[in-house]
Amino acid sequence: MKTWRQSLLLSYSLIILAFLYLPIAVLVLYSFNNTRINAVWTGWTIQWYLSLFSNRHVLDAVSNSLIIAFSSTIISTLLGTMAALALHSCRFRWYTAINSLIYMPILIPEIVMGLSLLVLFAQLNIELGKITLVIAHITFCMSFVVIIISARLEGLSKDLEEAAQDLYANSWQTFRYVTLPLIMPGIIAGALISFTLSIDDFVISFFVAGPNSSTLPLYVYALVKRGISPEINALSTIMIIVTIVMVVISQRLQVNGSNKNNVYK
Amino acid sequence: MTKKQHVMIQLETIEKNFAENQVIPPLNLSIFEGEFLTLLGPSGCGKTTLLRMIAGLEEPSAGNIYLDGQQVTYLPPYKRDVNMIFQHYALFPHMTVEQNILFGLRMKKVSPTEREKRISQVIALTQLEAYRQRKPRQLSGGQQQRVAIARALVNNPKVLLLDEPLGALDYQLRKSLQIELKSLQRELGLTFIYVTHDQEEALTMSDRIVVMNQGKIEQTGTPHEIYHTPMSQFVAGFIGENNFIKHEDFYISLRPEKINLCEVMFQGESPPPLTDDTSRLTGTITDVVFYGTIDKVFIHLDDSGQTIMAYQYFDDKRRWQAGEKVGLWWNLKDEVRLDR
Ligand SMILES: Nc1ncnc2c1ncn2[C@@H]1O[C@H](COP(=O)(O)OP(=O)(O)OP(=O)(O)O)[C@@H](O)[C@H]1O
Ligand SMILES: [Mg+2]
Repeated sequence: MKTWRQSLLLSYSLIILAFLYLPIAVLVLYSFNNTRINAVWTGWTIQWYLSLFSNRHVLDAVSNSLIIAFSSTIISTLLGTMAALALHSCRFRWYTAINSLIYMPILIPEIVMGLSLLVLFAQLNIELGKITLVIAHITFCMSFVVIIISARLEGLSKDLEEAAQDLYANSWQTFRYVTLPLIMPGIIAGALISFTLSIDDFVISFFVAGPNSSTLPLYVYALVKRGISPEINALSTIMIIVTIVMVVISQRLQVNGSNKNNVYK
Repeated sequence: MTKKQHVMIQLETIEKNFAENQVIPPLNLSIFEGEFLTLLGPSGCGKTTLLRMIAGLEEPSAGNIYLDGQQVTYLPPYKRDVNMIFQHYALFPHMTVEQNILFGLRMKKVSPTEREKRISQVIALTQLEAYRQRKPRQLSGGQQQRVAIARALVNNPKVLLLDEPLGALDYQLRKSLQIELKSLQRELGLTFIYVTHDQEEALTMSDRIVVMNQGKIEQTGTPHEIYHTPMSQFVAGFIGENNFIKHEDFYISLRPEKINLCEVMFQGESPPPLTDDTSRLTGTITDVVFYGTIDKVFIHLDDSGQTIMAYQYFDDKRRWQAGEKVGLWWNLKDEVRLDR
């Protein structure tokens, strides 16, 4: 009876997992397919990966994506951390309003965000390119950083900062030696999430990219319009792997951080 | 308090309001060097608030604070030579025991050799040798408490502020740490301001007790004075157990251990002397409750209808039971007259 129920549950879970991951598995599998025709399996090869790395357009797109991801990660982590700290330390009158405004970019449909940014840049006469992409990515990355770090600050007992002050640490030293180390896992997690979001973003980037600033997702989209090729599968596989690694690291940091320190009360 | 003592902390008409709410009305208090002073009072009476104002974590709404003669009212906490021990220890979770203890000295830029000397002293004192490299989460509650004490002591503060430092520990551990803390304070000649709402702790450890109620000081005195000569109904009722007997415009308080029980008819027993020094009443026992070392006997008085509680010890000749008629008598010198 019991084993019967367990095996039912197990197969149910497996079906769900298959439903979620089968498309990705197929894509990964066909990136190793030894033929241009996607529908037939003929054998193993890594030639699509090799040809990717000798394709100038791909390398350009990769370097664009990395430059934009690094810049927007650094800036949004810095700005987001400062915003979270400011919100935490001064619970001023408009606290709730400002807090929900910071969450907003996550909830607004991406297409609306992209369009409104495009209109804004046009109004301000800013030429579309890497700069506009970085600015656009910062808008949504920062929200995530603020959310993650706020959660950590929330769990931080006020006693700790007061204890530091009582032990002769001024405001800066309190921040440097107590607050900052305790929210560090949150900051790193926020940065990793930002990096992942920036690398993966398509919709918003689509609106605000310039002619020479194609990111990887935009490049893949351009290729797809000419038909799905094994190179695209290979490229997508690489992106999937990078994303998974990033997400796993950032999850581990958040979980670890909260288990390790009894910062969360 | 016979010899003239040096005032370490002076609170001068100190006052604290949170928004509209007055938590501490103007209050004066002097704390002497080397004394163990306890703030005792019910929850919410402002003990923590008072302590935090002395530490500098809260700014008074009015009044002045002097530390060792110097005005410190608006000095930030990191510039005051006092240290606080928090109720939940507030140890830094990302630092080892050693780093926690050294934190204050590092911030004060004490030289490494001096640091090493002082930390070995306090670590020996608090018996933490074995735990130097551990993180706080790897320690038991009692060990964490010791680290908190060491972290404060190592700075040689002029005054140590302790906010219910033993509140989170179990009874046995609390008892043993009470003794350790008290002997530490006495040996090092430290000034302690100790917050508790455990009256037994206050009575056994303090040189002086300040009983607070709704932000006001009800009475200040030695444990002996507070217990035996309370000055208000609040103090008499808050510390230990007490009976109140109402007279026209004042109350008499009478400790249950001072009341003697006897037969109403005095059969076979020599009647207690009814002299100018004693008082006597009769009543009916309503209940006898077992409390370990004593029984508590509740008596309904015949004339006034009040209920009085008296202790019965196990070596007493007569065992009283509910429903019995009983006589009560006590010495007039044990009565405390309360005008408020
Ligand atoms: N930051 C604050 N804002 C508003 N009111 C406060 C604040 N801190 C304390 N109070 C109020 O001041 C009063 C005294 O609080 P306090 O913490 O000093 O009490 P306490 O004597 O330490 O009580 P306990 O024994 O429960 O710790 C309480 O009524 C509390 O609600
Ligand atoms: Mg308190």
